Amino acid sequence: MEYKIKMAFALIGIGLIFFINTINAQKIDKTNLFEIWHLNSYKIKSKEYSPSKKEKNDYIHFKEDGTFVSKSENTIETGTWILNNNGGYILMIDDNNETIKAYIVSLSFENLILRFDVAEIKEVEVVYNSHL
Amino acid sequence: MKYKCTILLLVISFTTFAQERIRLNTVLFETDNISIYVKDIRDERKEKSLGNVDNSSGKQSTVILNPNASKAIQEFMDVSFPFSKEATPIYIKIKALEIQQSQSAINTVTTRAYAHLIFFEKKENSLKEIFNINHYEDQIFDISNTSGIFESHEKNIRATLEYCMQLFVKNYKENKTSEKDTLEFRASKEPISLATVPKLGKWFDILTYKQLFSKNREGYNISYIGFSDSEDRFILPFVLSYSTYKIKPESLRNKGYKSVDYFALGAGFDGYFKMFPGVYVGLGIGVPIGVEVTRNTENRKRTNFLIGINAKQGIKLIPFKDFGIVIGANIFQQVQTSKVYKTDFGFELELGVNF
Repeated sequence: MEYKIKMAFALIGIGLIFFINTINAQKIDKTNLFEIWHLNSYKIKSKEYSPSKKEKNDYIHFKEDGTFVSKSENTIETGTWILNNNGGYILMIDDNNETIKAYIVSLSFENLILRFDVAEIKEVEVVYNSHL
Repeated sequence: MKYKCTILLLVISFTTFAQERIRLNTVLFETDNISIYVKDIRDERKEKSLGNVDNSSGKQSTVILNPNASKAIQEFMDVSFPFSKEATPIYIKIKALEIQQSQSAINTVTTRAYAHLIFFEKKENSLKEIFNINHYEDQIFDISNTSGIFESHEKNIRATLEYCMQLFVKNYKENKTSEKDTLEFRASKEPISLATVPKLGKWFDILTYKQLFSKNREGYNISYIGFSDSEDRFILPFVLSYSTYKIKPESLRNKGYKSVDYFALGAGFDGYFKMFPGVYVGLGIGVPIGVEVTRNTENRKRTNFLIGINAKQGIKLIPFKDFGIVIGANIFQQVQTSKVYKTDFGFELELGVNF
């Protein structure tokens, strides 16, 4: 009898773990994005390239309040951002209502790799670090 | 009678698509702690299937959401916006929800999910429209990845639904904080109607025969042309061609040759400007590579490597049918490493089929 109860609990436990995993299988932890992401390098077919001098201090700051500030070649842009978990991308909407999608290739505490949905640079992975 | 029924059943089974049911995965998404839940979803589409696409075995199938679109989307929303007594009920009408796939380049297929949703809130016992959005999500795959292509439809639907919901939440919050009575937002600048469902471009496979007419040469060219007739005005088709030409006898006089023949292969991209559906103005630059076989008056044969560059301007008429005739005409200019004539210009008449 005791053995049967133990087995039942074990099965329920496995079922719960499976259920939770199914729900969270592809979830991206949004809080990991709340950082200033400094441009580190570009990757094209696993070959790494350094940014140009102009791009050395480029960054994107995803803020907790849903706004962002980015610097690209000395141009500052601001707007709002939305994480689309099911699509695996960040949607950035700038102050002129222009939108850009950035697919998340990988995300950790220190690294963020994005692939921008722009025809000319679709093959380029942009590598950011959370520290300079 | 029995035989007739069997034949009829066979005909029906050959002409109807197989049916595939797909279940939406439940992936939580960020809700910005907004206190809403989806009370009811009404599917107002005339056609309840999502569309006809290739299944994971590459066979054309009619795809439907399991058990049906309303219930599948309800379950999908409930995970991220669970019911609570304090939460505001939201009602959704599905005006469009469909999937598409089409070859988009010589080696890729694009998949798309499209949704048009209208959001309502209950005010004074009637539903009031508060948000109206249409959106599509695309993914591109290698043409050989049939299982990845089929699986992407489910992910595209989820991404599309999340996009619509996220923008609704953003707009809802902004409008609630500014204390407006109603909110109205359209993701598309175009007026929304079923007629504006953004369709993926149709892929054309075309085989053409071109007869060449020029001052010094005569011959023909056989080409394969592949392109996606997208919404873009400028289209870059993929072209593979084989040409064989010879110098006209009258042009060989005083040149010291009995005959001169060319065999050339060409590959690359032309550009088409879509003027109207089925009418294209072509501009192309090609690099034909081949051999030039000369036979002099003493009957001595020599083979030379031939490379050239040509420019073409022309018009192509392609009927918008799965199978149809293609008609075209081009003028061309060519410079090449020939021992006999290094420049040439003339025109080509083109006849082909699209399949």
